[in-house]
Amino acid sequence: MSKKSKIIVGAMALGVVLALVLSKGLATKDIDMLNSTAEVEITAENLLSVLGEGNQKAIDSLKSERVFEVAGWVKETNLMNGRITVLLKGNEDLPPYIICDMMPHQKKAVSQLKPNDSVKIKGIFKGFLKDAVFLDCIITFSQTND
Amino acid sequence: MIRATLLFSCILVLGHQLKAQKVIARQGHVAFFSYTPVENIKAENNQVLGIVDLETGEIAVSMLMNAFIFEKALMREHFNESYVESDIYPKATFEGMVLDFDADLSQDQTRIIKGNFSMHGVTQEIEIKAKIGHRDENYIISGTFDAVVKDYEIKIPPLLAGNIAKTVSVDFRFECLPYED
Repeated sequence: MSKKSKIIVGAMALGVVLALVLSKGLATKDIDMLNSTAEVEITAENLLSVLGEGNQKAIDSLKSERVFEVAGWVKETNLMNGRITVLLKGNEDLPPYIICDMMPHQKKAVSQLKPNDSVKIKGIFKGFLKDAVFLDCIITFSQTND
Repeated sequence: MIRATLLFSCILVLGHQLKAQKVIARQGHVAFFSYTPVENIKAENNQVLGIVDLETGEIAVSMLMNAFIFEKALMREHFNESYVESDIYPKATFEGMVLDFDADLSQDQTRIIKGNFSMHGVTQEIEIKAKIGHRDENYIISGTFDAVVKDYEIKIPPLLAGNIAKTVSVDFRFECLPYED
């Protein structure tokens, strides 16, 4: 094989590798929440008590970007900003709350929730502002409390 | 008669004090858009916190940078890891004042909001034109402003310079309810 041919083959191989890397990167999928295992299982009350105490060390120990499963009570559901959102509360009907931005396929399940229902919601913990924020959430358990 | 007048005055004063002095948006919306010939990038954050003091016009906004939603996961990855470095600078904040704000005005008012916007460890003084609507006890604050990427020391690799606009357009909308804490 001539030197020229080697360069052409090398360039083509490099192009294929680059294309594969780029396509893999662009096709990076969001987390498969249905099949992911929760790294942290916690009650809404416990999670909110960390926030309420304002203990920065305890707050920092709750690392973001991990999958949490939170058990609590529904404060409200809404479609604000065109997003499906569930707000969870602890034992008391007072702020702070847990704001769960639900995955699109959860619309039907969320529409069946009522205030004070018991739920478990799995999602990615993003951090605290006044409230705890979760994205990519799904309902893993719900029970009506009439 | 004097007692009745005093009682009425007390009720009036107390009633005024009980009126919510602050309003809060727990699910404020902030979106940014980057338009280039190569690609358009849009991201939105729907859990932005906004608090407004109705008496003084002071406004405070805080958002988690890792809570922006992108069309493609790779865009989110680049944004968080390479550009805004959200693990080091997890929040962007704005603290400012709504100039000439009249909380009692029932019709929409357009006002300038002046303050300091901090992102990626850099604080810039900015002025934003905002529309403020007032319905019952709720206030809706919305507007748009431009942010120059290099002003916030966000470094774009030369290879991707064509993909990211030098100035991004930022939209916001806060539906504020009476503050309860």
